[in-house]
Amino acid sequence: MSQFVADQRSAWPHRWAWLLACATFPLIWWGGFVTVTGSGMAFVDWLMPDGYFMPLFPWFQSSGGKFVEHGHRLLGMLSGLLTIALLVSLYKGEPRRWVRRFGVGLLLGVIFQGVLGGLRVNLDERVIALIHGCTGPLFFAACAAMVAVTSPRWLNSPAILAGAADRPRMGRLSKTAEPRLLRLAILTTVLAYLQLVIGAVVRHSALMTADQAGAVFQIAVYFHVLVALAVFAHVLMLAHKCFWRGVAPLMSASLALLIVAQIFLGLSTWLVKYGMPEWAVATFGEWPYRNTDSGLIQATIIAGHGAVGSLIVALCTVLTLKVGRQLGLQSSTRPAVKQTIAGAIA
Amino acid sequence: MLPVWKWVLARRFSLAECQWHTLGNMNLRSPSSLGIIAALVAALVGCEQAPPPQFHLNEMRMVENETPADYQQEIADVLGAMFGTPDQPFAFPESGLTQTRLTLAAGAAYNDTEGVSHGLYRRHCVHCHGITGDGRGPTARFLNPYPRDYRSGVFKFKTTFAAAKPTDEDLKRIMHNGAPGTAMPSFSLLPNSEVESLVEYVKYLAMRGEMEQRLNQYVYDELADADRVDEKGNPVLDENGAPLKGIRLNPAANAGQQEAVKGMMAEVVAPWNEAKDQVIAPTEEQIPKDNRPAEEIAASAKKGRDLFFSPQKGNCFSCHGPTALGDGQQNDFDVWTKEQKAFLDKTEQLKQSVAERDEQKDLSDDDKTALERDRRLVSEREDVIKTFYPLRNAIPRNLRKGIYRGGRRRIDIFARIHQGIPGMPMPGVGGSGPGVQGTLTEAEIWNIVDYVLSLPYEAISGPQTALPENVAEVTK
Ligand code: HEC
Ligand code: HEC
Repeated sequence: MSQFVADQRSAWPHRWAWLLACATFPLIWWGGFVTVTGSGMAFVDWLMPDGYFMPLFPWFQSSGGKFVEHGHRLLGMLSGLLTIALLVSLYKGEPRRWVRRFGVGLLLGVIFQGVLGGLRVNLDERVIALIHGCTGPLFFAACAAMVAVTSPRWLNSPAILAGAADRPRMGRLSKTAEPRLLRLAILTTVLAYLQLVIGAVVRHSALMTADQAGAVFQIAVYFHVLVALAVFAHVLMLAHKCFWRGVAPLMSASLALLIVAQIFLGLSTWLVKYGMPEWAVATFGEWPYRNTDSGLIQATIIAGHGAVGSLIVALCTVLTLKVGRQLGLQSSTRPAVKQTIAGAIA
Repeated sequence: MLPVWKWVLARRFSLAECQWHTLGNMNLRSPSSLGIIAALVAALVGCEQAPPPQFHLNEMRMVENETPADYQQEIADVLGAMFGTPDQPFAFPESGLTQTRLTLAAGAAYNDTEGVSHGLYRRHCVHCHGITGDGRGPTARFLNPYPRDYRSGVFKFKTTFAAAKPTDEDLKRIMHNGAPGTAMPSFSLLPNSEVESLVEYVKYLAMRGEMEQRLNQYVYDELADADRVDEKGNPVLDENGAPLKGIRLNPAANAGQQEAVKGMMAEVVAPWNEAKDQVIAPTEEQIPKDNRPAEEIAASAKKGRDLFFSPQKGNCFSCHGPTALGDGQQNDFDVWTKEQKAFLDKTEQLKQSVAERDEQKDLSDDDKTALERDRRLVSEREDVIKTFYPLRNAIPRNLRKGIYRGGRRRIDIFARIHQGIPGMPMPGVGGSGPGVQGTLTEAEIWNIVDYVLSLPYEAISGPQTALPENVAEVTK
């Protein structure tokens, strides 16, 4: 079976998947810009911005909000096109049916995300902006997962290669076959995503005009801080374990660095937007700077905080997949996968 | 957790609910992608959109004046007729406000085909300053200092005399510069026309807030109680024998009330229009030149320092501390907090009095009615208190950091010292109006300006040796 897979595969799905992931990351970043600069409603209609057919809108002649918002739409379109290309290549050269279906899922995802973004504009609805901001990173994580499962390394993964036992690395790697690690990986991914959702609530509830927005914002902020601590600890633990056990060591190391950077970005986001809270002033003295609304520093830090958050979720997802892969979860036996995952969660 | 839950139940979230509901009923594995999307679109469009935001009345003042609910509604109606809604503001002609600017600043945020931005206030300010301009936007509770409550019309950083309104230029300046050291950001990236629209809207919200308070007071003074009791203290009955409930507030149908409201309106608007005549104008010859030699600045700063530490003259150190680190008197409040504190204290007294009367057994029927009434009042007041943010002291600035919220130009510092900081404990040392003699002369104020601007560079041990001997007593 594995031999068969290895022989038939085409390199193209993997390449398209990479392209897609690389296009989606800036898309997320740019989406953050849209929110930070308040450009979401730069056009009051979606699909036909100011009466133009979308790809034909004179983007480079626009400025301010329209430039930001239309850039986001163009990038979104690019992601959509790349997803179609990926899907075509999957159906041409990917023998694994579940991967092809996964590709279909990606296409649905990107359409869904696009429509959601469009509805956010056409209905001028903050709650949809919030949901749009939560599903975007989910799509990105799925793209990253697609990169992982189409990679040659995935197919050649020692856990399913015949005769793997005599590979020299195997002795060390076999130690990874621990459901506990998978459980940690899943938990970390879920926590990281939960944190992202709470972050989106923090960001968008501030901009809502409903009477309860304040209460939601306040509670979301507390949770965001609490869950940040949990994610921080879990990601470091996961990265530590994966690193020393040789499961994607490079990725684990990056993840550890990213989570540290993310904490700093989070603190900076607060500072450049809201200055110092009272207790911090009592401890460190006054916030000595002046913030500039929608300034480059502010926009970069805030959008960066969201983008790095998405990256962390995506890396956690991939790491989880890799851990699962090393546990010997085979795509061909899906019930077994489910059982193992259920076992790991339990 | 309760507020969140309410929020979840409220219409605002109903869109999302509908969506989950729809998703829950679908077989997600089914490949009929278009079906999912179509259903989703239907679910989203089918749901009602959130209700438009409304201006809120100042609950604390309504409860303080014991304004009955029906009068509150009438006040809101009158305000609505005069000012419109957050989506459709209205500039009554006497206000001097420009309708086009208000329209651009109000409502939901979007850009039209010409690229003109609408809904500027909701895009840039509302999350801090709140829809009513009460300084209670969603983020406000976490900010230090709290965002400005425009409704009392008091502004801190301006070039006019303390009691006067800020000029448009003053408001533009704070928007352009922000208030360094606070959450108030600079909006220097906004085009001038948008800043002007926002300034107009800030004035509009301030006028609305001031008008609300006047109407509230008018109802209290003239209407609510006026006809309820006759000279003997007996309730006046209407033709059905029910106690008369006072005169309704309805200026549209009552010429006298209309006159009164017009008068109030004029009172609210006039100071805004007169602000430009209230600018502190320092005497031209006294203004220090920019290119003074260093020795001259040092000599001036030295004089300024003596004034700063003199209990009779500047008396600055009593608040800003013997080291100018802002560690002098720190337990005072700003006017916005003082009002809340007074409300809290009064509630506490009332509560005690209710508790005391509860103990007594031989209460007359009248006393019992009064007790019940006060009990209800206490619970109303406590509901309002629940909405307060933690009260904070007005902390004098650490002058050694060189952070000036109101601007760092010499003329800015001059204005701060001359007129103090309205709303804050910091008193002015200049005259309170044109031609009025102040505690200090202009020359002396300029000396202090030089000293203040030199403070961030002064060795910290410096001023301590120069302290008057009784400083410990004075600062206490
Ligand atoms: C991030 C929160 C935040 C945002 C956004 C914000 N402000 Fe402020 N604003 C503040 C705070 C905090 C203060 C109080 C500063 C102080 O008291 O020192 C303030 C004060 C002010 C003042 C009073 C200045 C004075 O002289 O007393 C004005 C006017 C003002 N803001 C206007 C605006 C306008 C207009 C916008 C939108 C374009 C805006 N603010 C956006 C936080 C904010
Ligand atoms: C009753 C107390 C009090 C006295 C007396 C006082 N100040 Fe202040 N001062 C304050 C407070 C409180 C603030 C902070 C205001 C704020 O946060 O908005 C302040 C702020 C300042 C600022 C900063 C203004 C800015 O733009 O941020 C300067 C400068 C200043 N004071 C100078 C002086 C000088 C000079 C004197 C003497 C003439 C003086 N103060 C006397 C309480 C006082």
